[in-house]
Amino acid sequence: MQSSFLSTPTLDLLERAAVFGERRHEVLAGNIANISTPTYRMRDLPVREFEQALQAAVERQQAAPASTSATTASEPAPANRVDDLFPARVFQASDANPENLTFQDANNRSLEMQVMEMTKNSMMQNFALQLIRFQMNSLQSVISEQP
Amino acid sequence: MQRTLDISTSGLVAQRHRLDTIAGNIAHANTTLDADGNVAPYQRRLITFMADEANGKSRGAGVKHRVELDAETPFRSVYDPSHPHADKQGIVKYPNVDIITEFSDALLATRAYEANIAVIDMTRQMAEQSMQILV
Repeated sequence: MQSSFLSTPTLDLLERAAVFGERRHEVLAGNIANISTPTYRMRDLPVREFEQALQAAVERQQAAPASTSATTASEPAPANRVDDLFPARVFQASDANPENLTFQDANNRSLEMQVMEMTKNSMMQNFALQLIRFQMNSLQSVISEQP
Repeated sequence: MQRTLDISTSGLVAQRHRLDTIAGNIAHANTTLDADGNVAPYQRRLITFMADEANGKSRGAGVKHRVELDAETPFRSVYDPSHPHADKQGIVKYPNVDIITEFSDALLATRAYEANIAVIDMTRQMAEQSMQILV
Protein backbone atom coordinates (compact mmCIF):
# COMPACT_ATOMS: atom_id res chain seq x y z
CA MET A 1 0.00 0.00 0.00
CA GLN A 2 1.54 3.25 -1.11
CA SER A 3 -1.08 5.96 -1.39
CA SER A 4 -1.59 7.64 1.94
CA PHE A 5 -5.36 7.73 1.92
CA LEU A 6 -5.51 3.94 1.66
CA SER A 7 -2.97 3.22 4.33
CA THR A 8 -5.14 3.86 7.31
CA PRO A 9 -3.59 2.10 10.30
CA THR A 10 -6.60 -0.12 10.95
CA LEU A 11 -6.64 -1.38 7.38
CA ASP A 12 -3.04 -2.53 7.73
CA LEU A 13 -3.79 -4.36 10.95
CA LEU A 14 -6.87 -5.99 9.48
CA GLU A 15 -4.81 -7.07 6.50
CA ARG A 16 -2.31 -8.71 8.83
CA ALA A 17 -5.12 -10.48 10.66
CA ALA A 18 -6.53 -11.80 7.38
CA VAL A 19 -3.10 -12.97 6.22
CA PHE A 20 -2.53 -14.67 9.55
CA GLY A 21 -5.89 -16.42 9.25
CA GLU A 22 -5.08 -17.69 5.79
CA ARG A 23 -1.63 -18.90 6.81
CA ARG A 24 -2.98 -20.67 9.87
CA HIS A 25 -5.69 -22.30 7.78
CA GLU A 26 -2.97 -23.75 5.55
CA VAL A 27 -1.10 -25.22 8.52
CA LEU A 28 -4.29 -26.73 9.98
CA ALA A 29 -5.18 -28.17 6.57
CA GLY A 30 -1.76 -29.84 6.58
CA ASN A 31 -2.57 -31.37 9.96
CA ILE A 32 -5.75 -32.89 8.61
CA ALA A 33 -4.03 -34.14 5.45
CA ASN A 34 -1.49 -35.89 7.69
CA ILE A 35 -4.11 -37.34 10.02
CA SER A 36 -2.83 -40.88 9.36
CA THR A 37 0.88 -40.17 8.88
CA PRO A 38 3.03 -41.97 11.45
CA THR A 39 5.33 -39.76 13.60
CA TYR A 40 3.65 -36.57 12.32
CA ARG A 41 3.12 -34.01 15.08
CA MET A 42 0.33 -31.48 14.86
CA ARG A 43 1.49 -27.96 14.02
CA ASP A 44 0.12 -24.53 14.68
CA LEU A 45 1.03 -20.87 14.39
CA PRO A 46 1.76 -18.93 17.60
CA VAL A 47 -1.75 -17.51 18.00
CA ARG A 48 -1.07 -15.99 21.40
CA GLU A 49 2.01 -14.23 20.13
CA PHE A 50 0.11 -12.85 17.16
CA GLU A 51 -2.69 -11.58 19.37
CA GLN A 52 -0.15 -9.86 21.61
CA ALA A 53 1.50 -8.25 18.59
CA LEU A 54 -1.90 -7.10 17.38
CA GLN A 55 -2.76 -5.65 20.74
CA ALA A 56 0.61 -3.89 20.97
CA ALA A 57 0.01 -2.43 17.52
CA VAL A 58 -3.41 -1.12 18.51
CA GLU A 59 -2.05 0.34 21.74
CA ARG A 60 0.79 2.05 19.94
CA GLN A 61 -1.69 3.51 17.50
CA GLN A 62 -3.85 4.90 20.26
CA ALA A 63 -0.84 6.37 22.02
CA ALA A 64 0.44 8.08 18.90
CA PRO A 65 -1.30 11.29 17.85
CA ALA A 66 -3.60 11.01 14.88
CA SER A 67 -0.97 11.67 12.26
CA THR A 68 -2.74 10.04 9.32
CA SER A 69 -4.37 13.24 8.14
CA ALA A 70 -1.13 15.20 8.40
CA THR A 71 1.24 12.60 7.00
CA THR A 72 4.23 14.30 5.48
CA ALA A 73 6.90 12.85 3.26
CA SER A 74 9.48 12.88 6.05
CA GLU A 75 7.46 10.54 8.27
CA PRO A 76 7.82 6.83 7.72
CA ALA A 77 4.77 5.24 6.11
CA PRO A 78 2.57 3.45 8.66
CA ALA A 79 2.83 0.23 6.64
CA ASN A 80 6.54 -0.07 7.43
CA ARG A 81 5.90 0.24 11.11
CA VAL A 82 3.22 -2.44 10.93
CA ASP A 83 5.78 -4.82 9.44
CA ASP A 84 8.07 -4.17 12.39
CA LEU A 85 5.29 -4.97 14.81
CA PHE A 86 4.69 -8.43 13.40
CA PRO A 87 7.93 -10.39 13.35
CA ALA A 88 8.26 -13.16 10.77
CA ARG A 89 8.18 -15.87 13.44
CA VAL A 90 4.52 -15.03 14.10
CA PHE A 91 3.77 -16.51 10.68
CA GLN A 92 5.88 -19.62 11.13
CA ALA A 93 4.40 -22.88 12.28
CA SER A 94 5.98 -25.08 14.90
CA ASP A 95 4.97 -28.26 16.67
CA ALA A 96 1.91 -27.59 18.75
CA ASN A 97 1.83 -29.65 21.88
CA PRO A 98 -1.85 -30.17 22.53
CA GLU A 99 -2.63 -32.11 25.66
CA ASN A 100 -4.00 -35.15 23.96
CA LEU A 101 -2.99 -38.72 23.36
CA THR A 102 0.03 -39.70 21.37
CA PHE A 103 -0.97 -42.77 19.44
CA GLN A 104 1.15 -45.86 18.89
CA ASP A 105 2.38 -44.49 15.57
CA ALA A 106 3.70 -41.38 17.43
CA ASN A 107 1.06 -39.15 15.88
CA ASN A 108 -0.85 -36.91 18.28
CA ARG A 109 -3.92 -36.51 16.09
CA SER A 110 -7.11 -35.01 17.36
CA LEU A 111 -9.58 -34.38 14.58
CA GLU A 112 -12.16 -32.67 16.78
CA MET A 113 -9.67 -30.15 18.09
CA GLN A 114 -8.28 -29.42 14.65
CA VAL A 115 -11.72 -28.86 13.18
CA MET A 116 -12.69 -26.63 16.08
CA GLU A 117 -9.53 -24.55 15.72
CA MET A 118 -10.14 -24.35 12.01
CA THR A 119 -13.70 -23.10 12.48
CA LYS A 120 -12.60 -20.49 15.01
CA ASN A 121 -9.79 -19.41 12.72
CA SER A 122 -12.02 -19.07 9.67
CA MET A 123 -14.51 -17.03 11.70
CA MET A 124 -11.75 -14.66 12.81
CA GLN A 125 -10.48 -14.34 9.25
CA ASN A 126 -14.00 -13.74 8.03
CA PHE A 127 -14.40 -11.04 10.64
CA ALA A 128 -11.22 -9.28 9.49
CA LEU A 129 -12.30 -9.51 5.86
CA GLN A 130 -15.73 -8.08 6.64
CA LEU A 131 -14.17 -5.11 8.40
CA ILE A 132 -11.85 -4.53 5.44
CA ARG A 133 -14.90 -4.57 3.23
CA PHE A 134 -16.70 -2.01 5.37
CA GLN A 135 -13.70 0.29 5.17
CA MET A 136 -13.44 -0.15 1.44
CA ASN A 137 -17.15 0.50 1.03
CA SER A 138 -16.97 3.71 3.01
CA LEU A 139 -14.02 4.85 0.90
CA GLN A 140 -15.99 3.98 -2.18
CA SER A 141 -18.97 6.03 -1.06
CA VAL A 142 -16.69 8.97 -0.37
CA ILE A 143 -15.16 8.70 -3.83
CA SER A 144 -18.46 8.34 -5.62
CA GLU A 145 -20.13 10.91 -3.34
CA GLN A 146 -23.03 8.51 -2.87
CA PRO A 147 -24.00 6.98 0.46
CA MET B 1 -5.25 -20.51 -0.65
CA GLN B 2 -3.85 -22.39 -3.63
CA ARG B 3 -1.31 -24.08 -1.41
CA THR B 4 -3.99 -25.05 1.09
CA LEU B 5 -6.00 -26.66 -1.69
CA ASP B 6 -2.90 -28.57 -2.84
CA ILE B 7 -2.36 -29.85 0.69
CA SER B 8 -5.94 -31.02 1.04
CA THR B 9 -5.79 -32.62 -2.41
CA SER B 10 -2.67 -34.56 -1.44
CA GLY B 11 -4.65 -35.85 1.56
CA LEU B 12 -7.55 -36.86 -0.67
CA VAL B 13 -5.29 -38.67 -3.13
CA ALA B 14 -3.47 -40.50 -0.33
CA GLN B 15 -6.70 -41.68 1.29
CA ARG B 16 -8.16 -42.81 -2.03
CA HIS B 17 -5.02 -44.82 -2.78
CA ARG B 18 -5.35 -46.32 0.68
CA LEU B 19 -8.89 -47.39 -0.18
CA ASP B 20 -7.69 -48.76 -3.54
CA THR B 21 -5.05 -50.83 -1.75
CA ILE B 22 -7.62 -52.17 0.69
CA ALA B 23 -9.99 -53.06 -2.15
CA GLY B 24 -7.16 -54.98 -3.84
CA ASN B 25 -6.34 -56.83 -0.62
CA ILE B 26 -9.94 -57.86 -0.08
CA ALA B 27 -10.35 -58.92 -3.71
CA HIS B 28 -7.27 -61.12 -3.30
CA ALA B 29 -8.15 -62.51 0.12
CA ASN B 30 -8.08 -66.08 -1.24
CA THR B 31 -5.67 -65.83 -4.18
CA THR B 32 -3.14 -68.66 -4.14
CA LEU B 33 -1.50 -68.15 -7.55
CA ASP B 34 0.69 -65.29 -8.72
CA ALA B 35 0.33 -63.51 -12.06
CA ASP B 36 2.48 -66.14 -13.86
CA GLY B 37 0.39 -69.05 -12.62
CA ASN B 38 2.91 -70.26 -10.01
CA VAL B 39 1.68 -71.39 -6.61
CA ALA B 40 2.45 -68.35 -4.47
CA PRO B 41 -0.12 -66.69 -2.24
CA TYR B 42 -0.91 -63.02 -2.81
CA GLN B 43 1.10 -60.75 -0.54
CA ARG B 44 -0.88 -58.11 1.26
CA ARG B 45 -0.21 -54.51 0.12
CA LEU B 46 0.34 -51.81 2.69
CA ILE B 47 0.16 -48.09 2.17
CA THR B 48 2.60 -45.91 4.09
CA PHE B 49 2.27 -42.18 4.60
CA MET B 50 4.88 -39.54 5.21
CA ALA B 51 4.67 -35.77 5.58
CA ASP B 52 5.73 -33.80 2.49
CA GLU B 53 8.20 -31.23 3.84
CA ALA B 54 8.83 -29.54 0.49
CA ASN B 55 7.62 -26.23 1.94
CA GLY B 56 9.61 -26.52 5.13
CA LYS B 57 8.48 -27.23 8.65
CA SER B 58 7.15 -23.74 9.22
CA ARG B 59 4.38 -24.12 6.64
CA GLY B 60 1.55 -26.57 6.23
CA ALA B 61 2.64 -29.99 5.02
CA GLY B 62 1.00 -32.18 2.41
CA VAL B 63 1.15 -35.94 2.55
CA LYS B 64 3.08 -38.42 0.40
CA HIS B 65 2.27 -42.10 0.15
CA ARG B 66 3.91 -45.30 -1.01
CA VAL B 67 2.54 -48.80 -1.49
CA GLU B 68 4.67 -51.58 -0.02
CA LEU B 69 4.41 -55.35 0.40
CA ASP B 70 3.60 -56.74 3.81
CA ALA B 71 6.41 -59.25 4.37
CA GLU B 72 5.95 -59.38 8.15
CA THR B 73 2.56 -61.00 8.61
CA PRO B 74 2.73 -64.78 8.00
CA PHE B 75 0.49 -66.43 5.43
CA ARG B 76 -2.66 -68.19 6.57
CA SER B 77 -2.06 -71.95 6.55
CA VAL B 78 -5.08 -74.20 6.05
CA TYR B 79 -4.99 -78.00 6.00
CA ASP B 80 -6.79 -79.04 2.81
CA PRO B 81 -5.10 -81.94 0.97
CA SER B 82 -7.74 -81.92 -1.78
CA HIS B 83 -6.80 -78.37 -2.82
CA PRO B 84 -4.77 -78.32 -6.06
CA HIS B 85 -2.32 -75.82 -4.55
CA ALA B 86 -1.67 -77.76 -1.34
CA ASP B 87 1.94 -78.69 -0.56
CA LYS B 88 3.18 -82.22 0.25
CA GLN B 89 1.85 -82.02 3.81
CA GLY B 90 -1.57 -80.99 2.53
CA ILE B 91 -1.21 -77.38 3.70
CA VAL B 92 -2.54 -74.57 1.52
CA LYS B 93 -0.99 -71.15 2.07
CA TYR B 94 -3.52 -68.34 1.78
CA PRO B 95 -2.70 -64.61 1.59
CA ASN B 96 -1.86 -62.73 4.80
CA VAL B 97 -5.00 -60.63 4.44
CA ASP B 98 -7.19 -60.17 7.49
CA ILE B 99 -10.65 -58.99 6.41
CA ILE B 100 -11.45 -57.32 9.75
CA THR B 101 -8.23 -55.29 9.69
CA GLU B 102 -8.91 -54.26 6.11
CA PHE B 103 -12.47 -53.17 6.86
CA SER B 104 -11.57 -51.09 9.89
CA ASP B 105 -8.78 -49.51 7.85
CA ALA B 106 -11.26 -48.77 5.07
CA LEU B 107 -13.51 -47.03 7.57
CA LEU B 108 -10.60 -44.86 8.74
CA ALA B 109 -9.69 -44.01 5.15
CA THR B 110 -13.26 -42.96 4.38
CA ARG B 111 -13.46 -40.71 7.43
CA ALA B 112 -10.08 -39.12 6.70
CA TYR B 113 -11.22 -38.50 3.12
CA GLU B 114 -14.35 -36.77 4.40
CA ALA B 115 -12.28 -34.63 6.76
CA ASN B 116 -10.18 -33.40 3.83
CA ILE B 117 -13.34 -32.65 1.83
CA ALA B 118 -14.61 -30.57 4.76
CA VAL B 119 -11.34 -28.61 4.81
CA ILE B 120 -11.58 -27.92 1.07
CA ASP B 121 -15.11 -26.65 1.58
CA MET B 122 -13.90 -24.30 4.30
CA THR B 123 -11.02 -23.09 2.13
CA ARG B 124 -13.45 -22.36 -0.66
CA GLN B 125 -15.64 -20.31 1.65
CA MET B 126 -12.65 -18.32 2.88
CA ALA B 127 -11.52 -17.65 -0.68
CA GLU B 128 -15.02 -16.47 -1.59
CA GLN B 129 -15.00 -14.08 1.35
CA SER B 130 -11.67 -12.67 0.21
CA MET B 131 -13.00 -12.15 -3.30
CA GLN B 132 -15.87 -10.09 -1.95
CA ILE B 133 -13.48 -7.34 -0.90
CA LEU B 134 -13.18 -6.51 -4.59
CA VAL B 135 -16.91 -6.04 -5.08
